[in-house]
Amino acid sequence: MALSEEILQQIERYRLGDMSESEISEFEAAASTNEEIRQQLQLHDDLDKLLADKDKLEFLETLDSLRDMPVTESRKNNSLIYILLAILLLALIGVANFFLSSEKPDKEEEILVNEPSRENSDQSEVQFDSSSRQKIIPQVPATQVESLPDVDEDTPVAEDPDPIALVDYSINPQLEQMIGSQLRSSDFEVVVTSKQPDSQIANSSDLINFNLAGDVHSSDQDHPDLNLYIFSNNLTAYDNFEYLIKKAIDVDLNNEKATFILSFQAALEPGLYYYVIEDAYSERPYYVDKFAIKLN
Amino acid sequence: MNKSNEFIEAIVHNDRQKIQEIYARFFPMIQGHVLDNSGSKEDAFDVFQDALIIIFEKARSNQFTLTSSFQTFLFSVARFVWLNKLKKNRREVITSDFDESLIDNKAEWADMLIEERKQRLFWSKLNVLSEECQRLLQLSWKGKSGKEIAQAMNYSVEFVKRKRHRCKTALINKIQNDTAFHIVYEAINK
Repeated sequence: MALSEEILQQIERYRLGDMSESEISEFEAAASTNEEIRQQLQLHDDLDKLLADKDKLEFLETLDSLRDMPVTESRKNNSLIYILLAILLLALIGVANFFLSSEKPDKEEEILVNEPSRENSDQSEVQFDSSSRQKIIPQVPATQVESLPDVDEDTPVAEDPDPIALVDYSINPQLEQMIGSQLRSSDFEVVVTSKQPDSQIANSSDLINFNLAGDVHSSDQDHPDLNLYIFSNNLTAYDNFEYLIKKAIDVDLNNEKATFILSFQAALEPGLYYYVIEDAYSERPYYVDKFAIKLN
Repeated sequence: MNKSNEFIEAIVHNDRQKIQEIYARFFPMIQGHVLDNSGSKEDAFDVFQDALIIIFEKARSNQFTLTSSFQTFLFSVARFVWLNKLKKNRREVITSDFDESLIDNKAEWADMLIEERKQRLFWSKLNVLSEECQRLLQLSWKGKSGKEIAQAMNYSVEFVKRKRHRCKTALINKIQNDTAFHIVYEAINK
């Protein structure tokens, strides 16, 4: 049921009564032949019905609040299950304590590990001793410590054996679907001529250069005010419109051709990002694409 | 008013304290039934919620008279809800002695159940919207005008309109991206 943003806008305008007589006739004719529009209208109706039902919503609120209430079990004999669960819980606490005490040495222990007499050991990687499952803290010679960047005292030291592997590059299906889609309205189209490529950075704190260029094609001399938004790949980021960066796009009109160049530096951590170009007023998206930031 | 009718009244008037009493008294038995029939605790809570919502709808429709104790009626509805779900999932059912005769028109009840599932899906998605959207939609469904919402949220009236559209679009996207949505709407269109 993936409809274009334009149709979704039409549905909203239709439902809000913002359409002219001719637009209504045109829209109703389209809805009568398009099952997806019909289903979408039904969904809007259903949702509005619920959103208008104050008593029902308040009742649902009450039911949800019950979730946190303790329940007395009515099962015939659960004592054995409880005993087993208690044993399992105690075992888990024991195992967790064992790993916590071995994986998070306090500062005194770390200083001891860094003593100069062990300078010759392998300093390049965090290693695991498979026999004891204890993490071995990398040995850093005292002379190197001063050159290390400042680290917050609470920051775990060498906790992660491979930080690159932990970067989440998973896609956002909703935004993926919009990449390359026909997002133009009947009046405007944004054509990106130079995309933002994937970036490589040496440190998570490095800035990246964001560069984007394109044309705005319009049926008349007018063009919309455009904004660029950058979102993380988090599934809810776009839904909730929680963007990381917003930039107004200046469109130049030269020889009746509307072009734009956007260039700025951004502090973004390694990961997958989506950028969306929207009409600043109607908030209609015109262009969506993505780029990745990777650690060297 | 006897205790059974008191419970029905509590549901219709959203008496939170009494509804908590209903939950404390009757949920454990429903949970026991669901667990005995290859369900989980989460299933049991869903069944309990569905059953109460159906009773809420029935009771407020003014075409409802309680002909048994509240406990018997609640268990019959809960059992109907759970059987319905099991039938869909084709899981084994252990027979129990709840009174099925209280569910007079099964087709009508089944339709009601689908409607409730749909509304609960909407509700669950409403609760995962951004706080700003939740607040705006909540003010909206509580009957506040665009101007009042604008004042409460420090927006312009025009922005309230645009923001409401954006929040509703986000809500609809969340609903449509949930697998339960397709199941519910397929059932409706059957």
